[in-house]
Amino acid sequence: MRRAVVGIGSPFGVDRVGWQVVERLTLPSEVERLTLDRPGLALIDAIKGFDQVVLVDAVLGADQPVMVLDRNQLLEDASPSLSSHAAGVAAAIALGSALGELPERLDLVGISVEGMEETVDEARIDRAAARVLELLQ
Amino acid sequence: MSETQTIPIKVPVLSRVEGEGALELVLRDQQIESLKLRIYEPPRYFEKFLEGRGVDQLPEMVARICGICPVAYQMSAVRAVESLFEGEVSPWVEQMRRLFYCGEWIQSHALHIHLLAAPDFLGHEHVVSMAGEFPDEVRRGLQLQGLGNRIIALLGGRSVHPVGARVGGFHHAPSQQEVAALLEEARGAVAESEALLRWLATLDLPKVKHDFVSVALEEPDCYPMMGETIVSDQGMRLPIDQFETRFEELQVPHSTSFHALLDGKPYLVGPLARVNLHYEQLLPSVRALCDELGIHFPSQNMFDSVLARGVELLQMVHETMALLEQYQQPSQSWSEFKPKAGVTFGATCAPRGILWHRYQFDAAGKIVAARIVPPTSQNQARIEEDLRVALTEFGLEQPEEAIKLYGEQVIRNYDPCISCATHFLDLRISRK
Repeated sequence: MRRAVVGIGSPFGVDRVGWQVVERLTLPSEVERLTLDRPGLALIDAIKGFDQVVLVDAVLGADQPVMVLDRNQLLEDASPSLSSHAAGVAAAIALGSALGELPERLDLVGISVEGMEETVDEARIDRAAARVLELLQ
Repeated sequence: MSETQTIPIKVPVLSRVEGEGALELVLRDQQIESLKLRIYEPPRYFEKFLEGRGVDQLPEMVARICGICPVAYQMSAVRAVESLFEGEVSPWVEQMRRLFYCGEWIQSHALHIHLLAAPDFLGHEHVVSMAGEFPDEVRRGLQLQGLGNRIIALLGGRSVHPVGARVGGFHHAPSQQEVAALLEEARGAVAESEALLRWLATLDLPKVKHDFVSVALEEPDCYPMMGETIVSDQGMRLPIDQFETRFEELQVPHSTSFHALLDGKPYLVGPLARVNLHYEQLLPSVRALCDELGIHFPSQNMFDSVLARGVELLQMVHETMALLEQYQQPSQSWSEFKPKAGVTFGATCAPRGILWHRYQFDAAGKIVAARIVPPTSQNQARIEEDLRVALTEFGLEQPEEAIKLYGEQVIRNYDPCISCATHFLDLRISRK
């Protein structure tokens, strides 16, 4: 079974937090670790062929400090009527699903943030990392 | 006495365009009373941000203007600097800049064809529903877009807002191994991009014919990407430093983006204008495929823009392959340029058309003033002119939803990048 943890973000400010979570994980040797810089629709290709993927990303407007969405919940949130400037994770998941190329098991661990200048405390990063490991159990 | 009927039609958010805009149309007695392409995305102040900055910051700052065509902004900027400052660019750098630009055209055109344009012609609301019926075509589009992104990343370090370009060249030269891996992919992409053009030729595009002036750069001995002369199908030949003598930008109340006019009239820039003017500069194999498929240029049908993008994409995949095949890693990937005070100009062909820059520098090489004219600003007046004619021909008695959809399709032919077009602020302060 091919599995991966994928940190999504950019080098800027709190957008790095997905990468930070993935970088500190102690993973089983067979689980691949990826960090992607604003992949857009290239996310589809990056996660193609895996049986299980956990995405880790900063999220705006979450009602909990760390939230988990499964594949069905992600597809509910996906907006297909997209502009290419706005082709982010949700659009990639919607298109990946239409193409039948999503992993069988797909979850997103979202770290709630309010703005680019925010600093995420270590406890929240640890908590997100723990949720990733739970999903890989 | 006949009864007067006024029908307002609003498309509050244009979908499948780059950025945020809207269309407002008022019909009176089945005539267009007013038509406004509203660009309400906020001004972005980039020209002001650049003042006081050095050329070391210039490429990275202008790259932030657009997530789809950062290479165009970087190339127009560095070429402007190099035409004023003292120094010389190596042939290797010239070749790699063309490769870098090929990457941008491939990714931008692949994205527009599949995500933004094709659903219009196949009866789908968006690419996600289109993917159910045409999965292989959508996969091919994503693959070609990915190739474009990987070419940009090869020289730019990353595909989104690349950081590799600098005045004089590139910060880093790719290794032979990196190039070899990409060359394999580019070779495979030739057949894919030919298949794409064959598929595009089967689309049932609306048959219209409108009057418009095509404008593009000219580059000696090749299909234009960078150049010193602006040409039109009306016989204009204008050095880029004379741009302001014939082209005028003006503000309209309903848009945060400028409109632009050539000799007081709207004009077209972009893939269709380029192919119309420079079809003979395409590779013989590309022209042969066009002949075989019955694709003819010049064309006065804006719906042929999707074909023009397919043709340019194929051309760029061929050029990418050739440039990668002859790649030699140099000992030095950039050359030094010595600052000089003065006013200078740079223009290149962004995927959506001419991107013109003017800078004033002081003796220390700091930017005193900047002016950037992106393609979408140039096309805006033309889009409104097109909409007036196209919607009238389409039939203003048609149901509102049909008019909305057709209006959006007309706009999407131009692939407007609204984010690019709203970079300017006319700041007026009243102090009392």
